[in-house]
Amino acid sequence: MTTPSATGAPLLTIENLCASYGGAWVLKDVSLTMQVGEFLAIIGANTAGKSTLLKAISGLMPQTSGNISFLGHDLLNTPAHRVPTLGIAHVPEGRHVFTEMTVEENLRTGAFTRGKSSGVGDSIARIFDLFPRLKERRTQLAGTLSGGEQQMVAVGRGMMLDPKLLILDEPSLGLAPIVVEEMHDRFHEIHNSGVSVLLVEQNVSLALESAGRAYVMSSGSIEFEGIATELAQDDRIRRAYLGI
Amino acid sequence: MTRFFYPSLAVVAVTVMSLLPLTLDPQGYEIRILCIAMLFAALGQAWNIVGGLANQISLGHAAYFGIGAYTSTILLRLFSLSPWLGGILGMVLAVLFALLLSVPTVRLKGHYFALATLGAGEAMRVIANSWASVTGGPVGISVPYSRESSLWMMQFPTVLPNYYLFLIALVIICLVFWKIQTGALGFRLRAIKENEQAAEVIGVDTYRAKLIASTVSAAITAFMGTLYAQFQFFFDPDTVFGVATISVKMALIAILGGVGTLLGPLLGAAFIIPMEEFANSYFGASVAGLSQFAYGVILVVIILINPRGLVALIGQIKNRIFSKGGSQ
Repeated sequence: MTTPSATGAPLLTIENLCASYGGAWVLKDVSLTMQVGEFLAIIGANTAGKSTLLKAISGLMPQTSGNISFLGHDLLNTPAHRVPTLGIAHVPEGRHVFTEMTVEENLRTGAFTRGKSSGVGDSIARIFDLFPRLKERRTQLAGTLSGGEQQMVAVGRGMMLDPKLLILDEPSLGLAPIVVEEMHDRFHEIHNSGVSVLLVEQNVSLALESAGRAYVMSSGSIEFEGIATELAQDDRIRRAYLGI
Repeated sequence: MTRFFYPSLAVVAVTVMSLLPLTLDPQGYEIRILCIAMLFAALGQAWNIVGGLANQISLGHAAYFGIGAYTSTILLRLFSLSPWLGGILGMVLAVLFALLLSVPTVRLKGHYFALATLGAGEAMRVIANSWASVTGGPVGISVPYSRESSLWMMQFPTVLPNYYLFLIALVIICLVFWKIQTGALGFRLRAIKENEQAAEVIGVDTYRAKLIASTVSAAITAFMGTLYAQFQFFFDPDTVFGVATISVKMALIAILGGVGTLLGPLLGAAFIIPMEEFANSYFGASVAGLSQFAYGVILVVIILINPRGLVALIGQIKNRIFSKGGSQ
């Protein structure tokens, strides 16, 4: 699938990004650009540095050098809690829902950065339209939901920000195939509503189906990038990740 | 029903607590126990703001308590300054100490935070013991006693006014806790408690939220130190900066009662303080150390039955009774 709404205006620009945990370098000279309206995927094996890259964008990686700019804002010098106010919603790997809160309370936490509570009800209604299942479970504790439903809560919580960029870190991890399909349909719906999406996914074939363009990472560096449909035919990808 | 149930319960409780001492000997043993119980309920509630809402298990709150007790007492001795003003100054110093302590500790979690705060409290105890020219050292310090009764100097011929000061303080602290718990800060702290990183990515300034909680808690604890000093008239570093006597006891009362709940520290103090007295007076004379042992055993049993404390235990019992009633 292509990204009809990509405009060509830069949304996110990463230049020469390096990051380390203690002494170990996990990102080496990563450069990447993303345009407004794009659905971009980052693929690669475990330990390729995909999640670290996302953490660096969200300000959760303290030891970084290089440059990350989002619509003109310097993200490397922005504390993590300020990043959402710029319009970046990060749905972390492993979902990280607040298990002792109800579904609705979880969604409300997503509206923290708005300050006043006006419009929160409308946003919740929109999330319930997107995931009708959550409406049924609105008063249930998030910890008692299935993995797929928790993922919906995590995505919904991110969408409560009304973000310009939605970052999804391994959203299909540990979910049943049928749920994974459904989640990706929802991601398209979100993307079509005008939100740029940055997806990190181990499920390479699915990622390349969803995204318009993709970067391939390996051992902390970008190997190459390209149009998703073309990458899906690329021999290097097919051999390394698709097992064909 | 529940909307009016809890407020009316609170009104009844406060009324009972206001009238109760009128039936007691104003110089007696019972009223002193009630004072100590309210003091520790207030301290447990103050601890609950940090330990319960923000999930920062502090074992160093004695530092704030001692700062409050020493600040007002030293100023009273040197300049005859009213303990009200001394107490406020103690609150300011405690807040400064909390800010200072937060620099190295606010990023710590779990056991590491507990150990760091434990160390801070102990450091204050050692300093107070060695800095004898200011604190009087291990000998202790006494509040100069004047015969006339004065609210401004917080000195009274009987314990009854102290009782009401403790009661008012307890009510105010409970209101503060409730305001924080049900307000925006409480919601943020809940998010931090559950998952700090997730809280960060949805835009919670976790550092700031924790800092507000710990400074509010520190200030309250310090003022209770002043009230304690004006109630006991004598204390030493090991009492007000003590790990077992203050720091752990504050945490224990909140945890045993039900951590993070409004009712928890109240139940915890109402249970622990009388039980401690009971154990001391019944076993203390016959076998040395047995009272502490009995006290320990009871605590262990309660935590084993329900780790979420007395509040949860009462809920459990209530459910059992109601479900029995329903089946018949």
